[in-house]
Amino acid sequence: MGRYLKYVALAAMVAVLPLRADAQTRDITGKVTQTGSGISMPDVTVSVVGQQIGTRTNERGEYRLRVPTGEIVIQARQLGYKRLTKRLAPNETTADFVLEKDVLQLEGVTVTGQATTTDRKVAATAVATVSAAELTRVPARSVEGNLAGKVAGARIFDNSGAPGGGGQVQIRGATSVLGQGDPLYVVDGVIISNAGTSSGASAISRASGSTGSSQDQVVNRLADLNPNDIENIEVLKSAAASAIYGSRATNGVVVITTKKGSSGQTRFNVTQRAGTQQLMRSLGHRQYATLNDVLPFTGGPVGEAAARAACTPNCTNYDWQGQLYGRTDPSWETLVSASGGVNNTRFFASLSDRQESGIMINTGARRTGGRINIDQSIGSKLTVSMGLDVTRNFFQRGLGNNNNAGVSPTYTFGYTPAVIDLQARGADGRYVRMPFDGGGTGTANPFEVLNDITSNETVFRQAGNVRVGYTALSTARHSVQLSMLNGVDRYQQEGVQYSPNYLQFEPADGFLGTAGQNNVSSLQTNTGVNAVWTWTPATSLITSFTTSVGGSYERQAQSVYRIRGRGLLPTRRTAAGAADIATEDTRTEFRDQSYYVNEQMLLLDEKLALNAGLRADRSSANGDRATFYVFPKYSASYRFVKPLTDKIDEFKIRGAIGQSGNRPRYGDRDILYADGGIIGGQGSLVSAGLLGNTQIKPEVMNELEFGFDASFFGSRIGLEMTRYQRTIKDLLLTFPLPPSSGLGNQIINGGQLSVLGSEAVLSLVPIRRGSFEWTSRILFNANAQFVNNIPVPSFPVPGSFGAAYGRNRIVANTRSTYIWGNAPFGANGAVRDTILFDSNPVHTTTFNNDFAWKRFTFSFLADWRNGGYVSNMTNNLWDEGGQARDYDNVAPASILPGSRPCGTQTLGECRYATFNGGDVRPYMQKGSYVKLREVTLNYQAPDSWASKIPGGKSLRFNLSGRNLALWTDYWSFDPEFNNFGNTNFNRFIDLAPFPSSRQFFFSVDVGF
Amino acid sequence: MTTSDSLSGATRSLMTRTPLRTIGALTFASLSLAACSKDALNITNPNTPSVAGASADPQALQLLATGLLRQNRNSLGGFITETARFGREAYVYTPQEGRNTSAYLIGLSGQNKLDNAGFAVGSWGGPYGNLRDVFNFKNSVAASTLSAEQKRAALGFAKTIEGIELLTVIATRDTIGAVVQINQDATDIAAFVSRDSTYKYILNTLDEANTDLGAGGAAFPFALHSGFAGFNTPTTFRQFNRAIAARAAAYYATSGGGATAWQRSLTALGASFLNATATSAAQLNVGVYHPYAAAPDVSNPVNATTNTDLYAHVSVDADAPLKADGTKDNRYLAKIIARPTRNAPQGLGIPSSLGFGLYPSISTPLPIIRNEELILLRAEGLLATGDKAGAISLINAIRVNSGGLAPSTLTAASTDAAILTELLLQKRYSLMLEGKRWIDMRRYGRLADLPRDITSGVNAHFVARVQPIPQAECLQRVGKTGALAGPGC
Repeated sequence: MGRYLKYVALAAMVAVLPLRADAQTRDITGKVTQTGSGISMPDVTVSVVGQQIGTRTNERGEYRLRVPTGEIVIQARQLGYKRLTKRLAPNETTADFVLEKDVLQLEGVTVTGQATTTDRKVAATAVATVSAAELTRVPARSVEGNLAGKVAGARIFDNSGAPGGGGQVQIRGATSVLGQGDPLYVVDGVIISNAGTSSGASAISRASGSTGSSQDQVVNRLADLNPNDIENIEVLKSAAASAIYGSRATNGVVVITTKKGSSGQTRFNVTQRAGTQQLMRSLGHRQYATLNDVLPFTGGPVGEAAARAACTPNCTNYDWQGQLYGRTDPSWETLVSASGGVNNTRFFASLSDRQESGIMINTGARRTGGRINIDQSIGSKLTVSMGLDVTRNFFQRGLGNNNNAGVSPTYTFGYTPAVIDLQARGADGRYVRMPFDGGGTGTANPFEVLNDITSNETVFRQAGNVRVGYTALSTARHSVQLSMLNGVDRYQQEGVQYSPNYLQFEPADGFLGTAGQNNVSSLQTNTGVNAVWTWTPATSLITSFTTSVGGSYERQAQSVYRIRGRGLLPTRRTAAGAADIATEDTRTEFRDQSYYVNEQMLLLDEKLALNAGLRADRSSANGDRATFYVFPKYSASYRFVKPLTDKIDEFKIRGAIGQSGNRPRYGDRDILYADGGIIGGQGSLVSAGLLGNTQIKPEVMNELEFGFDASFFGSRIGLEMTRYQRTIKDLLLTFPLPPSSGLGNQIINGGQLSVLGSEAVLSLVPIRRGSFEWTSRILFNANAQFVNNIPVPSFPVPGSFGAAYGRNRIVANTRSTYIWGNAPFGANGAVRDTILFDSNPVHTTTFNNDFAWKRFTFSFLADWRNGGYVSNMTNNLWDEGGQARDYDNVAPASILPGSRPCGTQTLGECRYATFNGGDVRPYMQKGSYVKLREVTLNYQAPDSWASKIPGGKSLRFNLSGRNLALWTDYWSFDPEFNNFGNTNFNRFIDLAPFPSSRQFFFSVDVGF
Repeated sequence: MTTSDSLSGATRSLMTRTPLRTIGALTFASLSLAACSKDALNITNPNTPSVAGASADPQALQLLATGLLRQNRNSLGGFITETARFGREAYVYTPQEGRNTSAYLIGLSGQNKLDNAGFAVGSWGGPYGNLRDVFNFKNSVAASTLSAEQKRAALGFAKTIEGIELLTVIATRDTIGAVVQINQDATDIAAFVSRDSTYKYILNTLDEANTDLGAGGAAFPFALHSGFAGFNTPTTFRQFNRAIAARAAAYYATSGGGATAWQRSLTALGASFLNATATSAAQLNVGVYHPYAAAPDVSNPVNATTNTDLYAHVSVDADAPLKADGTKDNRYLAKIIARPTRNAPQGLGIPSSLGFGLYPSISTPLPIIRNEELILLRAEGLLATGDKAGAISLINAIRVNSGGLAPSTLTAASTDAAILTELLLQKRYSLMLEGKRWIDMRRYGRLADLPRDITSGVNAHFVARVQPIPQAECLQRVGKTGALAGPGC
């Protein structure tokens, strides 16, 4: 680079000498810094090429390495930077490295099997890796928030703005109608649960069911993971990449690796963050001038009297949302980590405490946890690694989404004119009652509800892994590694609900007071055995052959116990003795076995890579538990180095074809009786309406992927393009039986879905001048999703509100993402359930930009979603209740071209009247937006500042914000949100959610 | 992993044993997994009983038998409230839901037709659900270790239930016909058969049941609920079976069965628990009932306490016979209560302020069949077979003992039609809200006599003749021909 770099003399030797120092060695010392800024780089791996000797740099970028005498080649590498090698003569003892940012992500390795990886440059499938630095640039509520906008091909959306997280990751479109739709998450080889199980808010909100439902702002359990412990995340997208995970892999696999310790003196890192948050956008509220304006919305004499008092002579308009969602209390996060190694033991340990305040009164979340990862070498051949993660995660998410009790604030506000002060208290010291009709079956003052109810979720989670590795053979040409891995992931979730009996809405169901206790316990274990034989003839024809075989046994068990009581004695918070009790007690368990064999060939001077593999799975979920279902994969890539012109550094073409599966749901295979209920004091058995299928088998996805990776102008520009086509057959469906058979439906395999899509990543270094560098990454993602055929009559996807509100339908030869709903059709205008819009965005494109100048770095990430319609039921509620901010605006001639004429109606009146006439289109709104998801400004203080802190060695300041701006024409809070949480389809129902918030953080990071 | 840039400095030379060690290692890996037998995958579902597992339980037969009664009871409320609306006995005036009126009394606009995807498609899925259970029950019994006698008793019980369920189906579908066959493979669609064949199948099944019960020994191998008190041994259960057969034969007689069927009805009545000389309410009420109770059991679906949407048709007041003192019939006084005036929303109906008090509490049992109906069935049979005097005598007995009325002025010289009119009036008040009125009026071709509250305009009422075959059934028969197509679709 030719820039002057100031090297600090090596003052202290930090590396601990190897235990078995032998006479034939010497020490190499040096320092690793970044290009441009010259800032020292901690945690860089420095190793002797071709030997098992290595260390990591300390927080000042320094290292010491004991190496054999003679000429050696040493290498410095860190994910996110280009690796650098140096040849050292026998008499050389220092080697400094200046690492350049790997903007094009050419470095690194990618997962190819249970125990194998390959260099990214020869990878034959599209790779998506996110490093720690990129991941945690701006704090997020949970890991999926950290990932959003960083993985080409994955659509990552928040489900609501409630504290603590909860979001959906969908990779390359929906692959199933009824089966699992989430990716598989693997942390350090342990398959972890991402289940989202209600903590029972429906007991209070009565959204659905008596004890809990998917509309309860459910948190998916990825939220328990501390993103700061993560070293990198790799997302396996195509079937050829994910086939190694067999019958749970159609939705992709997210492979998470946590940080490991490195040899050397123990280094501590402390990060303290303080932050705040504010409502991103308010829905506004219709403004009232005089009593006559309010009278139509009073809902009876009580409301009328209240309105009369409030609006004489003129109404005062209150900002209820501003008051209820106006909490800016500080949020805190403290992170402490230690990493080091002595002799043959290396460790990484961390403690974290994250306290998030919610914008809604009385809401928040707190995650407290610790992790320890230990690597132990025993002799030269045996290594044992262990990891343990313990977390307590607490959520107080208030109430949001659908409700039928008048307690979901955004729901209730939509029906009630904001002309009284709901925060006022009456003579009895209690909040004033809501005098107006709240739209549902009950009415409540949301301020009182949110203050006085309890709706908590507490999760205790423990995850651990033990890996034993044995080098059975290690020669210049051959190596055989055996390994065995055991993983366990366990959590206990407790949901506590309590609504005191004096609350205004409580009498609506005939019982005063509601109490709910919800316990979920989950245990997952997995065991794997792998053998990897690498043959490295190191000829120009054959670089290497890697053959691996292995198998695994996995188990996932979950039990849910809930009790809900209504009709409580005053102050009693338990369901015992309640007048009306409902319970749920269900257990599920899966057990899976698998075997695999995998062959990886690197040929022609590493230009040609060929891979093939087979995985065979059987599962307790399949009808036939003895049969193995086999999933093959094949992939190949070829690299052209400097083809045609020197301007093209490298051009790689790649193609892959693979198969993966999605196993049936629990119980699909079982032919069951139903509980017929009691008669005359006797229990009974009757046929279940849903007939299981003893032949049920996994859904199977076949995917063809091809693309190219190219880099130009000395790695200043990189382009990755990928095209994929996936077809999913043997879908899990319910086949309707004739009612005269006495049964309702049968579970069957059949039909086919397909997805056709493109992904592109453009990486650029537009400016690199002196210490200033601007790097940019643009991720593009578009797909089209289809139903090719189904062996059953077309049906609406379960989990929605029906044709009057719009939902996806599974109809042969149609896009599966089309929203069907009621609209006038044809000349006579008869209302029909018909295709209205597409819920699938035309594309999602993300702009990532990093600017580095001296010790400052500034980054932002902007997400652009183009298209994708949303069923805006929030707007619908606010129009029905007459409270929409634009209700009184002048209406166009008709809301949509050709829809019902508005005549003299106002905008809100006309929208609702059009809807009421059987036309849902006024509430089908385009969900396009540009969102500034992440902004961060970082200052790496000079070491002289750091040394002013006792023991301090490095110091960094950071100012960052998440979701700072949203540009959209969308009417409600955020078009990303979904009332039903994570769903395969119907992921576009906006119904009075917890609003989104801007989050700001300031953090100080000190290394010791 | 290291690849081409690996240096061989410190590594040893290639060992000749390499292939052996490699194979050894791979074998180790494979063997260590062999411990995972497929038995580890054999786990059972703890949430719901499996058919295979529960059938092996000693309690299974009892639970399945109770299941047949529970399922039968499930359909009863819907059957009563639907037929009561068609037969102008009752309204269901839900405050927010006009379709509980319009779907029964108005139908699809301009077509006077019930919507087969709408509300009025009951008495189909419920009865067939239970017929599936009857089918399974028969198979369980056949495969069980019960004695021959016990098997006959159990079969007699199941076939009687089968007859009751099919009678519900054909009584609501009439000329459309019904499906009488349950196939082991539920995807194997069964054919529709005619009304005539359905009745023959029902009567035949009930007769078989009677024979089986006769050979069924002294006791059932399971207990029947309290509603069967007095009819809970094979011998006494036969009286119940014959009562159902008498009803089925009478229905058949007016639906093409003719004189032979009337004879079968009278014969069956002779073997039933008919007590023609009953005078007290208790004697008239002897019969078989379904009990109800508070949760975890369920409430009587038409009880006066919680079902406050159920209103009596306004004509029940004007049409009530008067006692000698000018006051209303005792049955009216006992069964009809006052309710706050209510109407269907949006002017779909007319206001009513009458409710039903005959099932006062949530735990009042509902009759399956009782003596009062048997007396009236015999009157029907006698009238149809030319014994006018016998018929009038029974009609008068009901008038006096049940209604507190004076005997009618009918004589053997009265016309059959006049006697039938009086008989149907007595049936209407004696068997009010027991699911008889609409069916009786259709059987005797008198649906046109039922009152229509609104006779003109978009909300004009009509009288449905049959309930439609549900759309879900028709959709399964799209593309099928002949009897599989479904005549009502």
